[in-house]
Amino acid sequence: MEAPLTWGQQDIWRAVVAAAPQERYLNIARVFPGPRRPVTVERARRALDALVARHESLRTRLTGPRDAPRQLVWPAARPHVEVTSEPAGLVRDRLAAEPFRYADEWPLRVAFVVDGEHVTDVVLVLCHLAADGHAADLVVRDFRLLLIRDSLPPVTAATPRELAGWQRSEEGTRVSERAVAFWLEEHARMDPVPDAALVPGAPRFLEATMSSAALAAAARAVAARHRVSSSTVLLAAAMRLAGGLTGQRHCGMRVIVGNRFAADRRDVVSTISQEGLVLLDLDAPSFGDLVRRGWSAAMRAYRQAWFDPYAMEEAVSAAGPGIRSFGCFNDQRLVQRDEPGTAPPDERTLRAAAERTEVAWTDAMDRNICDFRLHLGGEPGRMEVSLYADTALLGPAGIERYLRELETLVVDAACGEL
Amino acid sequence: MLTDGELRERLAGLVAEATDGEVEAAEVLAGTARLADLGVTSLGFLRLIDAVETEFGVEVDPGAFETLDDLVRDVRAREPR
Repeated sequence: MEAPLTWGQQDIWRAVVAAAPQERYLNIARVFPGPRRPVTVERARRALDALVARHESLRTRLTGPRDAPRQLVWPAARPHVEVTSEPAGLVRDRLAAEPFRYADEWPLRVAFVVDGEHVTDVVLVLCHLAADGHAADLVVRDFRLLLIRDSLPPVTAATPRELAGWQRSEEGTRVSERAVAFWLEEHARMDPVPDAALVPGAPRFLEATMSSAALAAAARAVAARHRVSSSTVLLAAAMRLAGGLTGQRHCGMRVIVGNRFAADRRDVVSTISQEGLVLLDLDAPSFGDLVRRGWSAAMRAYRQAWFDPYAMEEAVSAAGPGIRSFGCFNDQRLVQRDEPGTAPPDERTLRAAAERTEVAWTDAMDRNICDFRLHLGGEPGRMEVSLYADTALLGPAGIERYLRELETLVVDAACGEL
Repeated sequence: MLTDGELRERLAGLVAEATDGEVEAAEVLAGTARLADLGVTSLGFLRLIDAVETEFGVEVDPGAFETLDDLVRDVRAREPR
């Protein structure tokens, strides 16, 4: 069965085309332990068959021309499976190291890590056209259950084919047009972004990752003070520093939005996350004011992140010279709910933790769709922030400085200095 | 049409559903606390707004309410007469 791509798939496809052949960074990897009561490889293979039968998106490949592919859903699929006794992390990295072959490979790669007869860990690498982060977690949940049960209640959420159909309906078009209108209104308030002025390095795009316990604790403390999420605190800080780079007072940054707050989209196994647009007036009396402003702006943005990406691109590219959003903010932390506070950390502890912060170079690419991208990940007690930037915009020293300043800004705010 | 009391109870129920029961309807009905102070997260607000819009056919502005009573007033003001 053939169908058009969904909006979410189109978004990913644009990113694939822009970064190919180095788009492996889009792969989504998950590792989970086998059940406490051990299962054999044969049992695990049966669970995988049931998983693939359950979710259309795991039986879907692309077909058609590269500039306008369609999705092709197959009645059955046999994804790549390895049985190995290597460490799970190593297997995960190896399986995630190559981009998927979208027309002739199934969109998941699986490894069963075994100790003798039994499966100790399961490694899953998903193609981003088949799943976003939340969908990957749903796939993991189902896989774990199928390892211990023979069947699951039927899927009630929409399939990617059904989503694509709705998106082309009158109602879907109206929803998209509303989002485009919102983005255009926000673009009308933006100050221009100056052109990138540096001589780019080779490779042109560099990623540095900061690992910081201080930032995790400080963001939580500021969030609790203002009754917002730590994500909002970090977004406000990221945008304030972005404004410092661009000289903008009214700055727009794109945020990755899960799009799962509507009840009928909550359990969809497909890529439905898209970009929202947060516009902030950075001229705020204090950082706390900016955070509160950021919360309202983000809430508005989250509701306008469900649209036809080609229509959006066409509309916003005509917004005027230099009138564009700057960068993309992606909070991928698994724990989206901040743990309710133990006592906030004192200043000495925070500053001492900041002394132990590390920054490392973690990736390099020649091409990308985005010139400035922040990823938030890590564990609840230790945040990892990656900044991926075009070296024509920000050199290596600038990339590292941006990350360090992000930590300093939030730590200072937590210590009551802003 | 629901009375104010019924609307208040229904909306408190939607808050509980939007937060997967992390915030209970009884807590919401008990006082005048801000929903954020009771533990409604950004995702909870977004789910709540979607549920209210679907059930009552009105548009809700995320910035327009902080408490249950604000939300009751907002929905009432936007209901078709």
